[in-house]
Amino acid sequence: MRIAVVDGQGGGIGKHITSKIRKELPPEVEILALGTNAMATAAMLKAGANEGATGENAVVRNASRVDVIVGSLAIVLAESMLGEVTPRMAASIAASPALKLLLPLNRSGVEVVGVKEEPLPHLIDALVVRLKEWAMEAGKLTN
Amino acid sequence: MCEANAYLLKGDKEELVLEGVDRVVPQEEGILLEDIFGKRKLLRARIKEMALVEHKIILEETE
Repeated sequence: MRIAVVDGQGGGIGKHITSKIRKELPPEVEILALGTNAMATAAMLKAGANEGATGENAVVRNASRVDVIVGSLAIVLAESMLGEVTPRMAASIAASPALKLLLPLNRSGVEVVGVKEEPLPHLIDALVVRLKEWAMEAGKLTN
Repeated sequence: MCEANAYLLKGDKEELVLEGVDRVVPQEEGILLEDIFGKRKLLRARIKEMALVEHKIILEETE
């Protein structure tokens, strides 16, 4: 199973997601770090991603070549992260056939109604639980 | 978001300075705040109170 973790700016959220996935899922799970900038990619690689790539073309090219894409809601919002998420990046992620598991962090002028506010570590725990469930259902994980 | 928010005391009012604070690092020049997205703010201030159940960090300005 190939998982793309997408993040920008300082890569803090991507780093936490990557390290949690690495801790909770088997080592054969491949994590691809896709950063909108080199600093974000480096933070995710340091947290345990297998490979990393940076920039618009890397995101566009790889979005449809993974099983799951994880990150914050901002990765499907054009011009989010202070403009680091380009319209092409957002569109390629949204249009990808991969499952998108996104953290409902209310930023970029978008609020998700009906979501209970939770600390970031709790949201990441929930994301990884859902990722495991989906992987089992889809036959991507065996135990 | 549900992380702590940092407020600066202005008289008897609490002014929000940073939401979703992840790190609070005391430095010589003051307090460095960093949110979960990596945004940083350095304030010439000290911690007056941390009300963690309320997710609040109250700072007061230093001279």
